[in-house]
Amino acid sequence: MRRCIIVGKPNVGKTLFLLALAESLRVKNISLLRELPDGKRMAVSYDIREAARHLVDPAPHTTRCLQSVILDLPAGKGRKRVEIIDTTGLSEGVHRDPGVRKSMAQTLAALQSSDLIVHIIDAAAAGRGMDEPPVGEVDQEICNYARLRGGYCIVANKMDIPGADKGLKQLVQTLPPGVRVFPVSALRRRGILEVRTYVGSQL
Amino acid sequence: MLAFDPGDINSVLAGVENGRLTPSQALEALRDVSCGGAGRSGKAVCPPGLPPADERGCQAAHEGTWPLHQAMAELDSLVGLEKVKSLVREIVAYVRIQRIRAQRLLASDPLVLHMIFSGNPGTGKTTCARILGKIFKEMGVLEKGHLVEVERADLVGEYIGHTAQKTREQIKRAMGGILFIDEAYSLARGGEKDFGKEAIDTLVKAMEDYKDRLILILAGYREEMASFIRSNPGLRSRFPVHIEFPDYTIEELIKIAQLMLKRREYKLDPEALFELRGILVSKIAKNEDNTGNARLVRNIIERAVRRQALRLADKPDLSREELMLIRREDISEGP
Repeated sequence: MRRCIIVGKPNVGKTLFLLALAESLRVKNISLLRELPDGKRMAVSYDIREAARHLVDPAPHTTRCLQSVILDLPAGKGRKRVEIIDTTGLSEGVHRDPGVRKSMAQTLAALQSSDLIVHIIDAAAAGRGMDEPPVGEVDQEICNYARLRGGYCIVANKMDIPGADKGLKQLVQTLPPGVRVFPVSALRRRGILEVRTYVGSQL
Repeated sequence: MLAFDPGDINSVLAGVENGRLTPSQALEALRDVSCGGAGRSGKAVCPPGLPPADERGCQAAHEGTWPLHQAMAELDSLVGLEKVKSLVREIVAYVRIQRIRAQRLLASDPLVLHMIFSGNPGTGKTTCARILGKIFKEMGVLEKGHLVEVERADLVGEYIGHTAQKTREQIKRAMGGILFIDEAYSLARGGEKDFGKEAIDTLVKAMEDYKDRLILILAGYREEMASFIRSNPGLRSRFPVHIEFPDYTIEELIKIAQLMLKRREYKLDPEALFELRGILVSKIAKNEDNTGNARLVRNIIERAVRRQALRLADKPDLSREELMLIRREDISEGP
C-alpha cells in the first residue's frame, strides 16, 4: 500500500487535517493505528464527530506518535487504498522534552519511507509575521528535503483566520517555484477536496 | 568532529533523539543521504533552490502526459477513420472536463464509457479499442488499460450455470481494462433457451457493479449489432458511446498498403501500385466478403513479400534496391 505522510511544525493542524480528510470521504468511525516511539502499536477507534475532541488540542505536541488511517481515495474512475500517516510536529531548535525528541526522530524515520509528503504550514501565523520570514527554518528544510523526493505538496492551513490570505501570498512568494500549495481550512472543511484529488492522483 | 555521521540515517535520527541535532539539521542531513550518499563530505550535493528536484518534477510531468501523446499519435497514425478519431478526441475532452468539474464541486456525470463499435471486420475496431485502453490508462480512467478480447465461445457455457461462471471469469481478467466482445450480437441469437442470454445478464450486472474499473466494448457488424441492441431495450441506454467504423475507400486501402510496406522497408514500383489498385477495384466492384477491409490489403502484401522472395531467391548479387522493391508480378489477387 502506498503511504502518504502528513508533516509540519507543531500545532499547524496536522491531525485535524487528517480527520477532515477522513470526514470528506464520509468515514463514520475512524480507526487509527498508533505506533508509539518505543515501537508499541495500538489501534484506537473514534466516532468521527468525537475524534477531534480527543485528538486535537490548542497546545503544541498533542500528537506524539505516528497515527495512521487507511482510506479509500478516489483516483481516476476507481478508488485507491492508501495509508495516511499523521505525525509528531517538528519543532524549531532542539526540544527540551526527550519524549518529544524521540517522537520527532520517529517522524523523520517515517518520512524516509513514505511515497507522498503533505506538508502543512500555518498560513495565519505566516501572515501575522510571527516567524520571520513566513517560512521558518524547519519548513524550509522540509520543503528542500521533500522536493528532492518528488511527490510533495504544501497545505496552507487555517485559512479561516483573518489575515491568513496575506500569509498565503507571502508563503507562495517565498517558496521555490513549482511547489503545489493548497489553501485549506481543516477546521471549516474547506479545500480538502483539492488536496484529496491531488493525493489520489499522485499515489 | 561532527556530532553524527551524516551518511547514516540511524545516526541522524539518534542525533535528533538525544538533542544534538535540531529537526532542521536532521532534515538537511537526510536530504544529503537520499540525494546519493555524497553527504559524507558534509556538503549538500543539491544546494537548496537548485534544480535537481525541479528537473525531476518536470520529468514526472512529462511522464504524465507523454504516453498520452504517444497513444493519441498512434491513433492519428491510423489511416482514415476520421469520425472515429474525432469521437475519441471528444471522449478524451469529456473525461478531462468532467474531472475538472468534479474538482470544482460542480455537478459531474459519472464516467460511463461502455461502447458499441459497429463495422465490418478489418475496419480497425480492435486496433482502436487497444489504443483507447492505452489512452484511458494514461488519463487515469483505467488502472491497467489492457484489452481482453473475447467472443461468444469464451462466454457461453455448456450447461445451466456454466455461462455465468465463464463470463465472470472473463470479466475478472478484464478488470482494470477493457473487455472487448467481438461479434457480440451472437450472444442474442439462438432464441429464448440459449445460454447467450445468461451471458448478457451477467455482463449487464458486471458493467453496473464495476463501472469504475471496467469498460465494456461490444463489437460487430453494423446491421447485426443494430438489431441486437433493439432486441435488448436495456442495452442502448447502458452504452452511451456508439462508434461506427466505415469501410475503407480504395485510396485509404492503398495508403494502408504503403504504410505497411514502409514499416517493413519495402516499396511498390508504379506498375505494382497500378496492379494493386486494379485488384482492389475489382474486389470492391464484386462486393466480396473482405472488401473495404485492411485485412485484405495485408494478405495481398504478405503474399507479395513472399512472391518477391521467391523471385529473388535464385539470383546472385542482389542490390539493396532490388531487395526493397515489390514489382508488378509479385502482386496477385489470391491463392
